Amino acid sequence: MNATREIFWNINGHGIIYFLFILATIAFGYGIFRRYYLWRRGRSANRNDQKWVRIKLAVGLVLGHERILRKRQEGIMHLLIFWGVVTLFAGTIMVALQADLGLKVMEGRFYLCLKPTLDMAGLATLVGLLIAISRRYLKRAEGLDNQSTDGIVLALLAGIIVSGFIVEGLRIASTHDQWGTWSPIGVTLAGALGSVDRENLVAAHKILWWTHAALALGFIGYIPHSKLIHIITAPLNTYFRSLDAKGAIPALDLEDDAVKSFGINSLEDFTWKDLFDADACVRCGRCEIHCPAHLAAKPLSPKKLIQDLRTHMADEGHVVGTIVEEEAVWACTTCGACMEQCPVLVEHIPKIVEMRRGQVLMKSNFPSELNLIFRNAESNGNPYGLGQAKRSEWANGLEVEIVSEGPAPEYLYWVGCAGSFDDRNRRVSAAMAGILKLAGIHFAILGNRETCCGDFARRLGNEYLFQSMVRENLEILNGYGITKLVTQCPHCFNTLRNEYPQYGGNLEVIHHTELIAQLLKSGNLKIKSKLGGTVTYQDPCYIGRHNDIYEAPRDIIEALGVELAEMRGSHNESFCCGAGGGRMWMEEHTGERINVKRTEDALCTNSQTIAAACPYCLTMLEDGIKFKDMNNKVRTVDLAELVIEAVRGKGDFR
Amino acid sequence: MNETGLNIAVLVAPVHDCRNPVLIDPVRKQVDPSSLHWILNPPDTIALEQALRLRDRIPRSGVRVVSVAPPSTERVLRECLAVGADELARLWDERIEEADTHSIAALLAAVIRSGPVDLVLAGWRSADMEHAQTGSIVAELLGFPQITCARSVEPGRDPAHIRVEKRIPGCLLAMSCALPALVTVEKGPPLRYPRYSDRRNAWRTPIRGLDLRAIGLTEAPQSRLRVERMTPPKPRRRSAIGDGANMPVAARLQRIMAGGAQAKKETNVHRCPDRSSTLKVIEHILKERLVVLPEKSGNGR
Repeated sequence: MNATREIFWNINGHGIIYFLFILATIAFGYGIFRRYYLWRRGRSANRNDQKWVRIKLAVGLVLGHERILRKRQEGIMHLLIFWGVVTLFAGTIMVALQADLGLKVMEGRFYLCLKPTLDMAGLATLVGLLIAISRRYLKRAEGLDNQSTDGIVLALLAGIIVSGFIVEGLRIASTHDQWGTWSPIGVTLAGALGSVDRENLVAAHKILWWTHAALALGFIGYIPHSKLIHIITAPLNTYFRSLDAKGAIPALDLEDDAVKSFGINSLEDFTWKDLFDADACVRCGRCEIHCPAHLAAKPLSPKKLIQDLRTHMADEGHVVGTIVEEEAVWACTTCGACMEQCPVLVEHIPKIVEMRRGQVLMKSNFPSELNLIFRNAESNGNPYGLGQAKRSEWANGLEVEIVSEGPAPEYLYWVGCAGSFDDRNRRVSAAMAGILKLAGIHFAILGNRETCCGDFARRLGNEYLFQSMVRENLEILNGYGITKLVTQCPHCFNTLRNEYPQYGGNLEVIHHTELIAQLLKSGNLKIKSKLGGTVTYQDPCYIGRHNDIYEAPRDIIEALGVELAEMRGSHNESFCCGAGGGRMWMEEHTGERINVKRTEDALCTNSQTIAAACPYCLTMLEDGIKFKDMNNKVRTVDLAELVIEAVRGKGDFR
Repeated sequence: MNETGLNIAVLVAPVHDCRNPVLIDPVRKQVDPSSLHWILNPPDTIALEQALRLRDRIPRSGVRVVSVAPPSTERVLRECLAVGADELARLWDERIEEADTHSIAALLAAVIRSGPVDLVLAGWRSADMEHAQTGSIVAELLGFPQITCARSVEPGRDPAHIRVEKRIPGCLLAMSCALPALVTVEKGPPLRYPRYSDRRNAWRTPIRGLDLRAIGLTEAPQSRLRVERMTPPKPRRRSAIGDGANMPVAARLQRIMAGGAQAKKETNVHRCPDRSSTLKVIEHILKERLVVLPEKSGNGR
């Protein structure tokens, strides 16, 4: 006998289903259209090129849950619900194919395979839901804020699954379905209901069948009116992801005379993708619990920023000062923790930088201390406000070649403003020059012709200043035919490598940790004496998260013979020192000091040495150490300084 | 003048940025022009900001920037337009290259006279020659009352007056002055940073370049003052306390007071403060409450 079941057993007037289905479709369609209309208000942006690359990347993120699974518990929770619901939805389609199109799919071996599969999918969903409920209401996991819609969504899903199981159990119990054993959960429930008389079973079945159907259709209708819209928007958002280098802020055309407004001033200045982002956000809070500004009690939360955008998407008028708090716009360190964590690839930093652009370029409204910094950089090519003529002072007596018309050096050593003007970081530059010499590399510096790379100006929204710096630097670099650069500053590194190409730069840039790691590996740089002791390493945001360089610095530490004690939050979960995104040049008025928080993390490792690979990190952590009055016990160094110690063999260091 | 608001003229001088040395071209034995780094004279920028604030508060007012400067400084002068000055008048003639302060002031006064003016603002001195005379001479030539070294310039009790504040030892002096007048400004809020859109417009605004003929002169005013020699000062020995940057503040202070610190051998100076200066440091610290002494128990001192 062929295995199958009667589809509308015990159901009269199932035609009503179609009517309900049309209602759900209208609710769904209307909701989606309303949001679509709002997305369309944004400016244009091309996010549909390289289709196959996009699809390939999206498949891993959506079907494979690559990002979501980074957090174990909630990852598994979502995986179970996702695949459970997808499978059950597919099962429902099978039913529809048979009932409405007359295709005989619910028969034979396929039907018998389908039954346990759907039961397991339901069970998986239920387990996922239980984890979700416990996380949200019992554990009250950090990052989550509970709104009524969260409860409704969970209740809807749980209702659909539970009613589905019971309907199945009732049907098996009342029809004595001979294939019932293929539905393990259904048959178990049927067994439990065995003692109830058939009449009641049939009546209960009818009621619950309709409940199940109504809940399922209600779910569909509810999708675009709740965070469930992410079922549609999140996969699309991963498809529409930015394919540019991670560390690059999108370019801005300042030359175009037709453009009257730069940056984001009103809601229409966002791109459609910015607005779409807001509808992909599910308020999971992963951005928030990794955001240094938020954790240090500043008025910025990346989650709130995106959610406020969503709430006010239909509004008119200004963004900064109304939808987004002014101080929040300036609190961001552009460390990228939010974007690294976001499972649906919301792009927070470009929005914040665009808002800063609007404030600086169109309103000249920014924290007052920046006035001096911008002017310093304009008149002297560096934010420190020291004379450009002092730029190469650090190299006095070190016999460092300054680039000239002669044959181009193998590497141009890009010292950066910190390495040139900051007393502490000048020592790192000296160490770097020593390393390059000992490794026998032919290198030169630009000397006083080097100008700030523009990282801070761009991230503070002063695109005019940034572009004038880029032009100046590219003119000089191209004039000397320079293509290979090494730098100890992750900010210079990222900007030269990822942002200069936007203005015609074609530079091969390497961070000093990468170069040193290569030199140690190839034997061009030999370690005379291993150092010993323990060291903890601060992953700088701009080589770590923004450029995925995590191993080179650790290879160096290993080669030095030093034990590495990782801090709470390392690699892509590293916590910013607080100086990125131009915050180096701003006062910290509200909340805790970010660098002190990070210093506390470092001190927790009980290492004698804190190693950085970024001049800003070095400054911030050293300040933190002084603040904690630990500078007699713990020292802060750049990796290059450790390397030069070991290579010169100046003995043991503790 | 009341119906039309306030006509403000601001004297602005481009000066060489002293943070960078002037380089001499050894071949041509001239100043290497690429080493000349023009900036707006910093006190003048403060005067300009005061003028802009006044204009923003008094309707129908205008700010006119007046400068005696060569064409090569036009780029930096445009900054005045970018921040919101309504007009820029730049006077230059090759014959005035060697002008002294008095003749520059005479030229400025002539340019100012060429238009309506109620108030002239200027920085109290220039960052290059530091004579601190230009404003005063212009006032005398125009026959205006003058107030020097102001801290703030605000609208007065009636439209024919302005209110000027300046600080003198121990107190703040508020004055009222009948217009027209000239005020030199010493301190105040920094010059606003231009919007990009304004900056872009400023690039396109034509600058009225004046020569001597345009102000009705046939010859440059006679210079009666001549610079005979400029001698760079001997480099000052660094008296910083070299190392110890890693030490906590208290330990560092202790070290300084104990007689200075041994600096690195390249910076070979370490001045030892004598006993009196040590006492002064201690007095200062206690007065400013930089260190709070623990409360002593009992009545022992």
